[in-house]
Amino acid sequence: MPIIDFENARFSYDGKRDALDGVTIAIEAGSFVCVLGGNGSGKSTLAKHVNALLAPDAGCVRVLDCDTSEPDNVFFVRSNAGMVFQNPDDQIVASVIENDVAFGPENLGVPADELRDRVEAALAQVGLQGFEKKQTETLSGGQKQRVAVAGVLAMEPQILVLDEASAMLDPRGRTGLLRVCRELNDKGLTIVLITHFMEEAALADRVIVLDRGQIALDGTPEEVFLQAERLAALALDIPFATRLSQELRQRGVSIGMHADEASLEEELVSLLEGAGETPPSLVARKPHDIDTSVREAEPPAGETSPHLIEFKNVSFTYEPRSQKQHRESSVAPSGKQADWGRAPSEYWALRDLSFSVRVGEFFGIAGHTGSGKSTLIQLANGLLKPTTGSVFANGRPLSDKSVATEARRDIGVVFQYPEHQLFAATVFDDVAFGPRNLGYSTAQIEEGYRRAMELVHLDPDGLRDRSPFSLSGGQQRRVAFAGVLAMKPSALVLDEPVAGLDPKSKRQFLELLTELRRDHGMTIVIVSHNMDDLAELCDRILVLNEGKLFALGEPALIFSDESALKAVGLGVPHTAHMVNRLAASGISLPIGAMPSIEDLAEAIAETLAARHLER
Amino acid sequence: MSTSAQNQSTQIKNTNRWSTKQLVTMALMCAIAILLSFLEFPIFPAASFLKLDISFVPSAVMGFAYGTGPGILVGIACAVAHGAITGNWVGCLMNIIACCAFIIPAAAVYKRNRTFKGAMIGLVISIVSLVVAACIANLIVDPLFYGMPFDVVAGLIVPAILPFNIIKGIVIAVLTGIVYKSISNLITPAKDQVKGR
Amino acid sequence: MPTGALFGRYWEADSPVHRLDPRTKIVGTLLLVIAALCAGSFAALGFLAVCVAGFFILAKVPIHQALRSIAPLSFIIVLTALFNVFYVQGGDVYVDWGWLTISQQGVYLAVFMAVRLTLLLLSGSLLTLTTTSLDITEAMERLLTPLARIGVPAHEFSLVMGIALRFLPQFASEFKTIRTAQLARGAKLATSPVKGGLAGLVSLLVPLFASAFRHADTLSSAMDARCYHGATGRTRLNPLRFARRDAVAFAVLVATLALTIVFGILSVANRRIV
Ligand SMILES: Nc1ncnc2c1ncn2[C@@H]1O[C@H](COP(=O)(O)OP(=O)(O)OP(=O)(O)O)[C@@H](O)[C@H]1O
Ligand SMILES: Nc1ncnc2c1ncn2[C@@H]1O[C@H](COP(=O)(O)OP(=O)(O)OP(=O)(O)O)[C@@H](O)[C@H]1O
Ligand SMILES: [Mg+2]
Ligand SMILES: [Mg+2]
Repeated sequence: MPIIDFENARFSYDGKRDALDGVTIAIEAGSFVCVLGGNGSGKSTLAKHVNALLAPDAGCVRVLDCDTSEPDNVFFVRSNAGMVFQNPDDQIVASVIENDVAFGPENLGVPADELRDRVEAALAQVGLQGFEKKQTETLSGGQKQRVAVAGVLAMEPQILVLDEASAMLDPRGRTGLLRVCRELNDKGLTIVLITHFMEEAALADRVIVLDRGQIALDGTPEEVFLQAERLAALALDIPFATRLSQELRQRGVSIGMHADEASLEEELVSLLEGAGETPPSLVARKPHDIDTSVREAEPPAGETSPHLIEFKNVSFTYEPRSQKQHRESSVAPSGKQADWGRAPSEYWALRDLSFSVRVGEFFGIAGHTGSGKSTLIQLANGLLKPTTGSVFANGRPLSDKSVATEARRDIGVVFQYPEHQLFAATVFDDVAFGPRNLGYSTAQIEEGYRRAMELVHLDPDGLRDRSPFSLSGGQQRRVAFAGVLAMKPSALVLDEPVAGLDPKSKRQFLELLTELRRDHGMTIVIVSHNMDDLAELCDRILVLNEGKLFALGEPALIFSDESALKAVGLGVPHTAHMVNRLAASGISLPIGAMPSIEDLAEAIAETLAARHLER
Repeated sequence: MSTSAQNQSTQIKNTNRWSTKQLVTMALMCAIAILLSFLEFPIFPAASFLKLDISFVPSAVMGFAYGTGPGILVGIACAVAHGAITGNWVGCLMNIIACCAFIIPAAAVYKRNRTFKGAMIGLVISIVSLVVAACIANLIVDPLFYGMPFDVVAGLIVPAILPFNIIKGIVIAVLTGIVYKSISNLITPAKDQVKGR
Repeated sequence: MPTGALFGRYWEADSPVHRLDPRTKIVGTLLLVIAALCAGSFAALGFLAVCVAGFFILAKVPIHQALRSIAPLSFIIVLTALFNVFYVQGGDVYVDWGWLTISQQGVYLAVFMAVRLTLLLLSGSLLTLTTTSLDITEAMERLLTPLARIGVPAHEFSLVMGIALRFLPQFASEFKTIRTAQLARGAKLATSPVKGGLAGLVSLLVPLFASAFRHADTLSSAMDARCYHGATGRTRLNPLRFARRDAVAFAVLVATLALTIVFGILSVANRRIV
């Protein structure tokens, strides 16, 4: 008997458009199901039905054989189907961890002594033993999300639904959360995982793709990801492993379709090894040697161009001395904390940082949560002042007040989730806020508004008098972006601009950035957790670790040392990862460290052909 | 599944006066109110101790959105939290009186007449009520707790207490109006609104 | 922002006062505040001062910490004292410059009120110095529960307080982010709303409120999903329990109040000033 059973379920929020439009699925106990779909396709609505937060208008949803539309079943279903949401901050009810974890079972009326056991067991399951008395706000995002999972586990549910639970985490936090899910699934918990990350979907037993409230695809990851065109039409991507297997097959390599990288790697290794021993002459060529030599042929972009932003020995702390002493006495740093991000007792947010961004460059910044990326951005346009050292804009020091004012206009900063700073009654007023503050004339403001809206591909007239809060999330982000562009900056600094967007909107947004640089000659600095994006877009990348400069250079150079990046909580792009994995199995390919996926497929096909010949 | 667990769950009913969503919204408004109560803005730079406390804005917004009860609850919770943090329980009492005086008229009028005009009328009555309450409270509390002679306080009403509270009332009323209008979209979502992210 | 900067008031220590039931402490604080207000003479104030000092020692709160906690309100004390000095006349005249007269009664009353207010604030802050916010909200709920029958939303009130305190640091940091973002867009955020205009303030407030509504959406779903349904049938991880020491503390506090009143009455000679 399936543990979750949707029978032709329909649901509409407003009575006009169906958010769920005749969904029929049966999910078996103990399975690991992944739900995919574009923004607004009905994933969250589906999840809320499993938890009886919503009941279908028509059709039937049965969880553990209980009809969720029966009011009497509601609390039974909720106690057995736990749910974890996207934003870790939005789910934590209490200020102390143990009280938050106990919140669910307290509601169920579990007696006090059993409560204690449940809290401890749940925290142990997510790897947070000993954190009982900690304040929730001192945790990193990844830890908070684990607390949220623990809070659900303490109710001893049989189903766990995660609605984009990893979307706001850095790579390390995300891997940690996924590992917890896998472990729980192995213990028999049924898991329903909603995500925008195709690589996470590849780990599931079964993938369900939603489109406008209907089930578009349903099957094993391999079956689903095979349908590349279909997925593209649904605003989705396919995972790297599937893309590579496809490319390989197109090149005549007989290999199965894979959704999971590890299994693809296994098959590749056996295929290549089967084709013959690696000739000694081919081994021990350091991949990035080739790549840099290629780059030297064409002079790196803007070697001669002036520096737009320059940091000289910049250190920064958020805390004046007196508070440091106070804090040292009140919180003892625990060794455990450091495993999951920067210890909150660290004094310096940035330490002795020197680098420069050239005019016209696409500059990437990477680093684990709390490594100081956002701090760096605020220093770059004079919003924060360095504690020691100095920052220069266009060669002039930002400590000079007039330079700082100039820089604030010239270097546009788009903060993380910029739509959260929208405030005006109409879109026009919001976009015009910046230009008005700069004292532009009415005509200039009008012209700036049009230009900015056109740059972000929004309709300047249609949206003019709408309230920004009535727009969709993606539109809101574009409006906020337009608000910065309206000030006509010559450089843009963006803090994680694509977080929370579905793959299609994400691609569109990144294309927008490339366009701005190509057609309008803007300098672009981008902070991102996504190594593939950084590798693809950036001329140079800066890697921060615990507020210090860890590495700076061209993508090929940065991503040549995978284990070092792993150690600071980051990864490398998938292609580089595959090259490295194959190299570890003794198979070196005649390509650089940073190949495109086509090059990689080409190289593998060639090597394979060469080895066959050798035989 | 054990039937006892199922039986136990069936008896559960939500016993709160407000829905969870409303309660949580009230709580978050209260958090903003506490935050604002610590970010006091001096009106006259010269007399920096006369701080303009705009922490009534969230409770007034709640009064408009959900009614008098929730508005007052947020106001009182904020005043108590502020009192607990500073240790000034007398100030807490003054705040509660002023807060009730401000919120009740606006919320009550707006409840009957949910139009822009209704809101304006309510806010004007609120300003008057706040000023009157502040005068009375000062006349009672200052002699009692701070030992100022009654006639001294009475003499201060026209030159100090009255103008200060009128400015305060106007600023709060204007802010409440603007903020409520801007976010009314979020309180009762428009039909075609896309949310969930 | 650093953890609980706004709440840096809780002083962690292992003392008999910390171990008291928070309900006792709330009621006790009230008794002390009443005592401070009833103290009608210097003798009574002196007695109360000794008692309050005793409680602080018992609570292992160092004196500088106690004074720091009332520092933000010291202007009230100074202001009140000044008012009394200048406005209250009677007895010997110390200074007489025509526009400024300072007399014995004025000085006397100024000192009296300053001491009384200091005691009032000190006893008011003892609660937050020795009790976590979680305990305070829970105790408030329990103390208000009898009133629930006449329609006081006791559970709702404490839930609102609890969540508000949990979100306070978060909104503080969100407020900072919003401020930075608007500054980056050239906003003129003067400190005075009258001087800088309300527009700047609105550009800070609206995003903050909007964010609250956004959070409320998920937070309420998350709570519903965890079977939240109000106070009935709810158990507690750390239930509050009265112990013997609570009875003792209660007796001591009532005695303090009574004796303060008695001291006030005994020194009738001084009562004319109040
Ligand atoms: N509270 C609501 N009121 C009205 N309409 C809603 C509400 N929540 C969602 N919708 C609508 O229902 C549809 C499905 O929304 P849902 O949140 O389930 O999408 P989703 O797949 O989770 O999207 P996302 O990837 O953005 O999280 C959307 O068209 C959305 O506009
Ligand atoms: N306003 C602030 N006040 C005090 N400390 C802060 C503040 N903002 C950030 N910090 C601290 O400074 C350090 C660097 O934070 P920052 O926000 O720059 O990191 P980040 O790399 O942007 O992280 P994320 O990937 O999570 O956005 C962190 O330890 C953080 O706790
Ligand atoms: Mg969703
Ligand atoms: Mg950041």
